Amino acid sequence: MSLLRVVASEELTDSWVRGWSLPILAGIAGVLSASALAMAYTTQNNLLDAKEGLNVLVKLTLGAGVALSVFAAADSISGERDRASLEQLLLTPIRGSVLVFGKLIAAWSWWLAVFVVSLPYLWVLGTGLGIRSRAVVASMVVGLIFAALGGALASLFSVRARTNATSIGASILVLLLLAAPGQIPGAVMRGPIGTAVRAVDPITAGLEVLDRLLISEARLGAVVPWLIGPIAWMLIVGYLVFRVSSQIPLEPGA
Amino acid sequence: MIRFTVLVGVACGMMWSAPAQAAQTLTVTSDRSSVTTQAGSTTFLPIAISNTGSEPSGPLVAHLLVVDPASDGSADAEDWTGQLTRRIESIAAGATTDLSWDIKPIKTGEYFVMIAVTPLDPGETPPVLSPNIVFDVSPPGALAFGSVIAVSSLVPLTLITVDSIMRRRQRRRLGLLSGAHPDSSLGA
Repeated sequence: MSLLRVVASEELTDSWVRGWSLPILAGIAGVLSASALAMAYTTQNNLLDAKEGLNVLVKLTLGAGVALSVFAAADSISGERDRASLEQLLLTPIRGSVLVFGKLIAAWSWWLAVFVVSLPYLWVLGTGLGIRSRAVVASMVVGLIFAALGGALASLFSVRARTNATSIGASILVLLLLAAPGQIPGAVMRGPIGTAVRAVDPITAGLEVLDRLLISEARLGAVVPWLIGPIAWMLIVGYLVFRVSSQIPLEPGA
Repeated sequence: MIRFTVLVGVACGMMWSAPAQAAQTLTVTSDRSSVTTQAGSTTFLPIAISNTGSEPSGPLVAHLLVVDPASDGSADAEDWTGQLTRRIESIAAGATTDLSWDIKPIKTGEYFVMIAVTPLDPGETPPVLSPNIVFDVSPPGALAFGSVIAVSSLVPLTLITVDSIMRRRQRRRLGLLSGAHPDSSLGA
């Protein structure tokens, strides 16, 4: 546990003290500010549009936070390989799983930071619409699951990929594939098969939770079944990362 | 929009053909004739449906309609309430059934809200409409544009300030380190 803390704190320091994290966060805050201003200005007279706007803001927050987590996790091991520093890391008396999960904690911190930055926006806009707590809870729960799943998937590829480009490319491709069912028109996805696909696909199910909580104002209990699929994916991928990271190859496939 | 047009069309058509059918025995009333509210605020709207005839009614359907006179005549009532339609099994002769709708307007403006009650058996009794209940909906006041402007400018500025403070401290620390090192060019 203490070794995990050492790895995680070293990676966190790398990201948040020595890196470019704050300017990146300021850039994201700028995008959120522009979206919030546009939303507040254009939707003052229409509550439904305002709710849609808040939903878009939550999705923007999730998108930015999860993308940063995925990039950081995809870089975790394959990046060390690219920079020729993996051999030194593997020579340290640290188990592979500790190394990967320590780096994964730092990767997840990106989502957490974006979520914290988004809180004032959710607070102000959510208060105006009377759904402040819903907006914060929905963004936190769905974001936590998405970031955990995305980061774990990216770590999986990072451990096995020979180069950083492969790892990042594979992570983005898989996430795009997982997001694809959500882009299919609603009428097609309303039948029993469509509903099953939406429930099993983690990204579509997570976005469904947001739509139901923020636009339809469904009860919290009513959306719990939609969280089962994403949580199951998160646990399965987390377990796979744990298994794969017990032996990190210096040169995969060599 | 289509649903409303069909409903009103059916209702009007049936009212015109009323003489060929059974006499009108239903009345729909509300103790509210006008409501002043804000978009997003919930209004409880009680409705009383009375059977003034001498026979019990058959099964009925009560449906909420929202008319937007400023536009082409309709608003999406399903966005205003969770349950548009209520079924009533029967109303005994001379009896009154009370129903209510929780109405949450989503858009500012003036609207006419009414309840249409129609029998499931079209030949039984003509459909009937409640009087107009005028909803005067003002903007959701809490969507304070000023707070949004404040947050939208303060958050990025705070992050930029914290970043510049941290970078200055880091530069100072590096400067101190390079000053202590025999090779003072290291920190440059």
